[in-house]
Amino acid sequence: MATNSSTAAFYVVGLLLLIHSGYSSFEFHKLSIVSHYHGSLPIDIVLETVIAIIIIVIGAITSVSNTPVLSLKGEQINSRSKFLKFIEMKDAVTVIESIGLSDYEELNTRVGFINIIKKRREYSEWLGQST
Amino acid sequence: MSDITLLKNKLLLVASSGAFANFSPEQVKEYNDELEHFLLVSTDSLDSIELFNLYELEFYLALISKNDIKAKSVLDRLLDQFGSNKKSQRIKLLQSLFLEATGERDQATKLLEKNPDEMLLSRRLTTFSRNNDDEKDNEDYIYNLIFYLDLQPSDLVTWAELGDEYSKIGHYDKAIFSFKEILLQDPYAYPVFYKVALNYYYNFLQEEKNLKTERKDKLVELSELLINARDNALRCIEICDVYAKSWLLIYIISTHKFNEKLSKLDSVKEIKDYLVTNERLRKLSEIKISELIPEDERANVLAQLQLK
Repeated sequence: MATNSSTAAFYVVGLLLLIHSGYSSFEFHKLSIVSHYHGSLPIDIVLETVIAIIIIVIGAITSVSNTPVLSLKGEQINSRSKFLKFIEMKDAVTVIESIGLSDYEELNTRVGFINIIKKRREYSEWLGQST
Repeated sequence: MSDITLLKNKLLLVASSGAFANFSPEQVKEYNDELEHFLLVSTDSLDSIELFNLYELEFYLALISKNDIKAKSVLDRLLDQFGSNKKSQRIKLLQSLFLEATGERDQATKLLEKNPDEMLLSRRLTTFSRNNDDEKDNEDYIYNLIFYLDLQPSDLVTWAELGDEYSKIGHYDKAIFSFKEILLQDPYAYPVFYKVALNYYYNFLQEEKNLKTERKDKLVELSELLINARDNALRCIEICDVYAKSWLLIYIISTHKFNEKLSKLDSVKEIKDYLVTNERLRKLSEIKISELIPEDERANVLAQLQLK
């Protein structure tokens, strides 16, 4: 929630600065035409534009922060990396392993080969024991 | 992130990974209740793909928990949506599972063998030769899996099934071959490296039991199995260093009493290297096991590994 509001703040401030610098640039060019001035854009407008873009980029990065996930046991797992996902495989696999699964779970679960008769029998036996 | 979204993501992950196939009955009951409640109150937060994936999960959980009426109603809902697509093997698989579970095996067979080009259904058909009463008497099933793999050699899931079937009947060398076929196509599948390591270890235990003499060449031959088991477990850890079972296997190998016999053979270079590395691995694995496996679960996991 805090991340969402800080992201929104970055976007709002960045966009306001960008619009302001754009309008300043527009005014400057209008005045240049009227007063026949041929100089370059003032440094404060350029600086304002650069700062606005930096703020928007920071907002974009904070918006891709990793969200927590629930493990199979129902525990909330937070990623070790706050923003972006890991690139190296040995770090990337730790996230899914902490949930209790792996990227190769299909080779372990093999739903297409599920022994439905055995599973149902096990369930009945368990029900019989627990009642 | 809201609790509803967290729960939704968890249920979708269970549905897509197929984790429910290995659930214990307690987990089946727990997830069944959780999913039922979730679908009752939060259907609006799902898009259509998520919704039908969760319906599929609901079908499997209902079928496992012997709630056939509910399974049939979910299946009908899925058929209403996708039944017109006669090419959908996924839907036919669900239909055949329902028929098989409710005792209409002949009808399930007819459904599966309609079109031999539907490989997912042909694969399911192989399971009909499985012996549900005695898992160690599954020659026909293994024969059918091999027949299917001749037609579809790139099906990794079937290689994994074949490997586990060989492992159950103690043909560890053939199990290793099957798992290595997966590694040829997917060289980063670290759980498969662990399975290869485990089967080398079981093979070693099997051979050690039959060992009658302590001749040097026999001991060297046996040590090769242990070295292979250790190397594959290390490869698994190299890719995923939080894979606790692999650390446990390394600990078992490095503390095995057979290593004492090998210490008499330290004139052989490979064995000398193995023993030197073992000592370092023992210390390292002890630290990692204490980090990764809670103390109360350790004995249980250890017992599972040494059962064979």
